[in-house]
Amino acid sequence: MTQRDDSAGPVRDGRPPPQAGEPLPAADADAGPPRRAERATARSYAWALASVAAVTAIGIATFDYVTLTEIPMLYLIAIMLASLLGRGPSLVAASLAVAAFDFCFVPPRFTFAIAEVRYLLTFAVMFACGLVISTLVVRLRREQRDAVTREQRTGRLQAFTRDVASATGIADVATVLAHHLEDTLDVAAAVLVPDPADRLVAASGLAPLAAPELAVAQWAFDHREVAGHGTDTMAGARALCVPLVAGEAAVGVLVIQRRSRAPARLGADPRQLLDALARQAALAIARVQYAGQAREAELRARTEELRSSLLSAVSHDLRTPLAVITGAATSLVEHGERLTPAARGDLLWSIVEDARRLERVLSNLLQLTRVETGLQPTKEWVPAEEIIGAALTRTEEARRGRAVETDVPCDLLLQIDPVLFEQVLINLLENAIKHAAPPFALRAQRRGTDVEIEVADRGPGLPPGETRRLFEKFVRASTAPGAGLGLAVVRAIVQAHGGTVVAEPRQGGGAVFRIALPTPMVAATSQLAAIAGASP
Amino acid sequence: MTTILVIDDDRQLRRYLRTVLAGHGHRVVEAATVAAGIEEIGRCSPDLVLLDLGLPDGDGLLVLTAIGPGKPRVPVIVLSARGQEGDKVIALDSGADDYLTKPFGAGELMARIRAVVRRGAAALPDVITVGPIQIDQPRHEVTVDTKLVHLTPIEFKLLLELARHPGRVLTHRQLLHEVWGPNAIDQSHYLRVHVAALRRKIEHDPAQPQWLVTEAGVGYRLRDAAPTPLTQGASS
Repeated sequence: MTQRDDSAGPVRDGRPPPQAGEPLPAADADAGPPRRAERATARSYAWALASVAAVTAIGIATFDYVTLTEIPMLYLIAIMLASLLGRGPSLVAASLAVAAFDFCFVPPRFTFAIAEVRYLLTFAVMFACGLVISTLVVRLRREQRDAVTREQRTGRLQAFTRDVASATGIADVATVLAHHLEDTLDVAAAVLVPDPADRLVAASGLAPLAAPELAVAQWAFDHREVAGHGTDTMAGARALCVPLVAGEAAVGVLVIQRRSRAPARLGADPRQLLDALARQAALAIARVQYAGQAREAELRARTEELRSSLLSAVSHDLRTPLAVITGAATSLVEHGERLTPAARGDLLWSIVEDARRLERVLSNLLQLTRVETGLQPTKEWVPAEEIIGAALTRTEEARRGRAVETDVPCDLLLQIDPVLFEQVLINLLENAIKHAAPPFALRAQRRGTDVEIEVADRGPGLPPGETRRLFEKFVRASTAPGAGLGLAVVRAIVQAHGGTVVAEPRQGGGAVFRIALPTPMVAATSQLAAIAGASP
Repeated sequence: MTTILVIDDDRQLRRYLRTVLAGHGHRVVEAATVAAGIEEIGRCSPDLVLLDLGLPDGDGLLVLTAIGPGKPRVPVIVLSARGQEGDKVIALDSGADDYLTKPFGAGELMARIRAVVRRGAAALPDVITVGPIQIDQPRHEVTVDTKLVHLTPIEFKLLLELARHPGRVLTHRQLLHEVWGPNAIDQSHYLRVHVAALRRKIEHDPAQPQWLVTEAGVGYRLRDAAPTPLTQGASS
C-alpha cells in the first residue's frame, strides 16, 4: 500500500491550489507516470473488495451465532479499513457492503429482494455511517500527511537556511541551493547570476547550458517571472527557470531540469518548497552582494588612506636615505683624493647601508600596498622549520654573525603563503636586530587550534602603553632610522592569513612578538600522514 | 675570457654591470630590447646572458623562447624585482638557469655567474663535495664531516640532483620532475617534507640551514661555498 494513490488518484481535493498564474513545476508535472498511479489505485480497490468479501465470509460462517444487527457492524469495520486506502475505495466498499449484506443475510437470503421495508432504513444508515467514517478517516490521513510534508519542508528549509548562512560568496550560495534541490527533488539544478556586463553566467552546477535554456533563463531574469518547461512562457524548453528575486531586483535565475525517469521523491507540492528555497537563496545572494560592496567600499577607503600616507612616506622616508647616498657619493666624486682611506670607507659604507634601507622601505611599502588592497595569500602547507630557516638565511647579512636561538618542532606544519610569511619573519627579525640586543630567539609551537610563533629579544623592551600602536603605519618605536612600516607589514600579512600578532614584554627583559595562526590540528596531522604515507 | 650578454633596457644598470664584469675580466656585450638581444645571441654567441624580464618591446621570456630548448645552449640568469616570484619560477621552468633579485650586490652577481658558467664545464666527479658534505655517487654514500649518514633512496636522489647544480636554484617543479617523475610536479608538499628530512641529516641545525637553503616561493639551492657576508670590517 502506498501513500501515492491519493494525490495521483481520481479524487484530488484538499491540495492548496497553485498560486494564480503560476504553472505547476516541471518536477511535479512529470512526477509519477500515470500508469503507475492507476495500478496502485486498482490495487486499493481490490483491497476494498477483499475486505468486504472477508467480512461476508465471516458473517456466513458465524451466521448461526450472531443476529442480523451485528453483521452491519462488521461491515462498518470493512468500510473503515477501505477508507484508509482513500475516498474511492471507501465508497466502493460501502456500496458493496450494502449489496452483500442484502444479498447474503437479509431475508430472503441469497436474493436482492427484501422481506421488510425496515431493512431499507438499515441500508441507508449503514451507507451513511460508511460515508461519514470514510470522510473522517480520509481527512485525518490527509491532515497527517500534510503535517508530515510541512514538517519535511520546514526541515529542508531550515537545513538550507543553516547551510546558506555560512556561504561567503555567490558561488557558495549557488552550490548550496543546487545541492539541496538535487537532494530533495531529484532534479539537476543550476544557478545563473549576471556578470558585470549583465549577461547570465553559471555560478554553479549544470554547466554549460544550451542556448535555448539560456534564452529562457534570460527571459525569466528580465521579467522576474517563472518561465520554461510546464509554464505559459516558452513551455517547450527542457528546463524550468525560476528568477531569484530579492526586494525589487532579480539577483539570479534558478534553472532546474529533470535528471532521471524516477518520480520526484517529494510527493506533495514541491513548488512551494521550490519557491521558499528560491526566496531564501535570493536573500542570501543579496546579502553576499551587499557584503561584497561594503568590502569594496572599505577597500577603496583604505586604498585612499594608503595613498595619502604613501605620499608622506615618499617625501620623508625615501628622501632621507637618498640624501645620504647623494651626499656621500658626490663627496667621493668631488673630493675623493683628499679624503683619508678611513673616511672614504665610511662614506662608501653609508652608501651601501642607506641603499639597503631604501630597498627595505620600498619593499615594505610594496608589500603593504599589495596586502592592504586585497591581495589574498596563496596558502600552502609548509614546515615551520623551513619558513623559519628561509627567513634566517635572508637575514644572515643583517645579523652579522649574531646568533638566533631556534626552537621549532620538526613536524609542525603551517598553512601559509611562503613568500608573504617569510617577509613577516624577516621584518620581525630585522626589527629585533635594529632596536634590541641579542640573544634573539625564534620559537614555534602548537597551542590548541593555533600555531604560535615568537620572536624574542633582550632589548630595551617596549614603550609602555604603546604596544598596539607599534603595528600602525609610520609609527616608529625609537629614534633608530626607519619608516615605521616593518611591523605594519607584519600585521597586515598576519591578518590576511586570519591570524593575530601582539607585542609583549619578555620575562627577564626585552620584548616578544607573538603571532597566532589558526591551523586546524586535524588538517595538519592528516596532511602530514598523507605525505608520509603516500610518497609517490 | 667569458663573453657576457647583458639584455636590460636601463642604461645605468648596464653601465654598472659593464664596469663590474669588465673589472672581473669578462667581455661585455649589451642589448636593450628583446629583438636586439636575440640578434646579439646569434651574432656574438655569448657564454652567458643576463636577462631583464621587463623589456620595452616585450617580456624577457621571449628571449628564452627564442633560444629554445636545444642543448647545449647558452646559460641565462634572469634579473627581476622582489615580489615577482611567480615570474621567476616561470622563467626558471622555461629554461633560465638562475635569477638575481634587484637590487643585488657585486659579490652575489659574481657568485651566480661562477655557478652557472661552471655548469657543463666539466663532468661531475664521482665524489661531489659541498662544504662538509661528500656524496659518493657510485657507492651511494653520503658523509657529513666524514661521518656516514644514512639517506633514503629519495633523499639521496634529491641531494644528488641539487649537488649536480651546485650554487644554483632548482624550482619545486624541476626537483619534483627529476626525483619523482613527470606526474608529481604539482606535489610541492612531498618535496617540502623530504627536504626537511634531508636537512635533519645533513645540516647541523635544520632550522638554520647553512647549505640546503630555501628560496621562498621559488625552490631550493645547495650552496657551493659558505656565504661571505659583506662586512664593514674595521670601521664598524
